[in-house]
Amino acid sequence: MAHAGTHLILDSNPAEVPHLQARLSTLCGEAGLDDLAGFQLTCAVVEAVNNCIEHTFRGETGHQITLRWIRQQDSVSVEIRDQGEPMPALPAESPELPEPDAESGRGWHIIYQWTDRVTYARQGNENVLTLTRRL
Amino acid sequence: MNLEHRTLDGIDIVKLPERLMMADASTARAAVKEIIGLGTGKLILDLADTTFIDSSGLAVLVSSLQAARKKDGDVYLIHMGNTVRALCELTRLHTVFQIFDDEAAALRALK
Repeated sequence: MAHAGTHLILDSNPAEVPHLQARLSTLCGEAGLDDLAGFQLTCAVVEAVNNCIEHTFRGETGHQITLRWIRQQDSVSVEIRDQGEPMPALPAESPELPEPDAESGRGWHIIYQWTDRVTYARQGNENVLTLTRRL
Repeated sequence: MNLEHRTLDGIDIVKLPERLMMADASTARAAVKEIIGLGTGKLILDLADTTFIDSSGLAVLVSSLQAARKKDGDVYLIHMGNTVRALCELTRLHTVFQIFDDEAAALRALK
């Protein structure tokens, strides 16, 4: 994973996500988020990137995913860009959790519960998903 | 992925890695299922070193529980940190797993 300033670039490869997680944890700490809040935002971003790898690129490596860390006075946003297939529309609100013993279906719930705003736009040939958490 | 594994009085104790994420989830799932398959079905998963889990990692925990219960066993979780505990509570996994602060308490409950 390469990073220049507040841009993080990774391949659509699950093996790169732990490096992203470590970098995000550092950025959250630098932004003043406490351990729990930093973990929550990092978790949400990791879930979004996992979705991108698993669904947008169908598990295929070799595609670029770009993240931009945007620190504002009262919030932090992480903008995730990829050139994969368009995403389906976002759910209007946090999706219900699956049964506790289900093996999948928790990702969007985590994203919605642990961020304050989720937006999605298709810009040209890019998906732009932005997760925002208040400080 | 090499998971630290030992057996005490027929109870398997497995230490999970620092991160349990999509990259290693399928390997971890297979390793834990193999341990359950060869053992009694009673398993303690030690999260002392585990600081980050994503939903793929949660799926490893759930699949372990399903495999253990097929053998009339169970999976108990120990040494869970506050952040991972928050994730388990958010996803309601704390309603299907018994969680203990230490190994001795989990061993007593599983025997």
